[in-house]
Amino acid sequence: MPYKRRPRQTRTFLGWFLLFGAILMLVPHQVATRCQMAVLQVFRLPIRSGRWIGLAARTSIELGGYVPAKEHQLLAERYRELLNRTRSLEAALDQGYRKLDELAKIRQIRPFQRTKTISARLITALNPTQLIIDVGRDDGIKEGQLVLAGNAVIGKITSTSSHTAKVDLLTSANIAIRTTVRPSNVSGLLRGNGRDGMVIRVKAPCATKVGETAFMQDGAVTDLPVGTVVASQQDQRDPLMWMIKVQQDFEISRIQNVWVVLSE
Amino acid sequence: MYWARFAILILASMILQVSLLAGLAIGKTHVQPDLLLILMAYFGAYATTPDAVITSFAIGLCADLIGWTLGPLTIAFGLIGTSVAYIRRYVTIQRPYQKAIVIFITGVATALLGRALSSIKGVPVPVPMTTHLVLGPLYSAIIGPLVIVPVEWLMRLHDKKYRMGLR
Repeated sequence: MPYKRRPRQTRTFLGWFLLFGAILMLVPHQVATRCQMAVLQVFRLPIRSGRWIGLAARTSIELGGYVPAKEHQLLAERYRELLNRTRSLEAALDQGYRKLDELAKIRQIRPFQRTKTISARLITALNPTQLIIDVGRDDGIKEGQLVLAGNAVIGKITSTSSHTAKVDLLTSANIAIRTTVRPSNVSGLLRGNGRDGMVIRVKAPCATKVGETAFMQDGAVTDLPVGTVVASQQDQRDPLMWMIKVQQDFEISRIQNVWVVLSE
Repeated sequence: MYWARFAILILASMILQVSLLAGLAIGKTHVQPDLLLILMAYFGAYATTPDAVITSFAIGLCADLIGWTLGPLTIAFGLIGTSVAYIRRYVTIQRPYQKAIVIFITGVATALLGRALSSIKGVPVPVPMTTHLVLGPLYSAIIGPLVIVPVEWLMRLHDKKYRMGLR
């Protein structure tokens, strides 16, 4: 008579599962992250295949069939890389001239050239501000290391397992880095808004204009572009402050490969 | 209940959720349908009550494994799925628009409860509130009735043998 036992069965199941849920609630966040990364590691192959199919489908829809989707994607990625590379080179040239003047023609070796990088592939995007990549502690990855894509800084490593690592993008509210906006030469701390943009707050007034580029000025790696200024205005909440909104020059859904900057 | 089919179904949905659907997200806030939410609403609405409890918690655990931390979604999915199993005794859920309404309401309730439990645990939810509470459930509700068709074909919860407790 299965029906007669069902109400009791239901209550028993519900009680046990609620207890299980409560135990999960007590699991520390770091342990939970490791469990999640282990699951992603186990299913990395189907996840990567599915992601590739989704990306291909999306690209073909956007293009409307006039240009081969793959060719458009490659060209768009190449364009973004070259754009960021150009900005990086312009900034390097500018600083190089200044250093030449100051140090009587002693050539400067750029800090970025002394650093080692390791290539990594994207496993999945957990959400708009967090990625999982396929390198981990065994490859020398540590928390706090910078992550580049298309010659631009995109985020930092926030947790690692043996074969995977979690990247918090600069748009994440957990990340803050020192940046300089050029050519106006305004420096400040850049923070993510937790969605799709970043903000630098400096004292008002500020000469920064829309279209200028923000460069990283933090740690061993400097003068790499972070994004483009999309708004520069007085902070509505605090009139003494100026708010510079910065947007990254890439789409998270298009990232396939990234580079992690290892220690010098 | 075909438990082996159920296990394959939720694992496949979990993988699709983080791969294919992540690539098909729309808008700047990356709104995407929640397959696990649709499955939870389906099993809550059509499985027997004990099965609905088990499936809801299992789906919630899967949602947690691809979410932001462990715990909140397991409890939220479990409780909301169980509630649907009790509520469907008084409400008819047969037509596509009725299924869509159930998916939307369960989506909003799950998101609210999940966010509340996350704040109790002290882990911030990385998904914007509007996307999580409104746009995501709405997207899921729109495609949900279509997704339920192949799921019903696979799980056969309307089968007489299952309803009689013989399978």
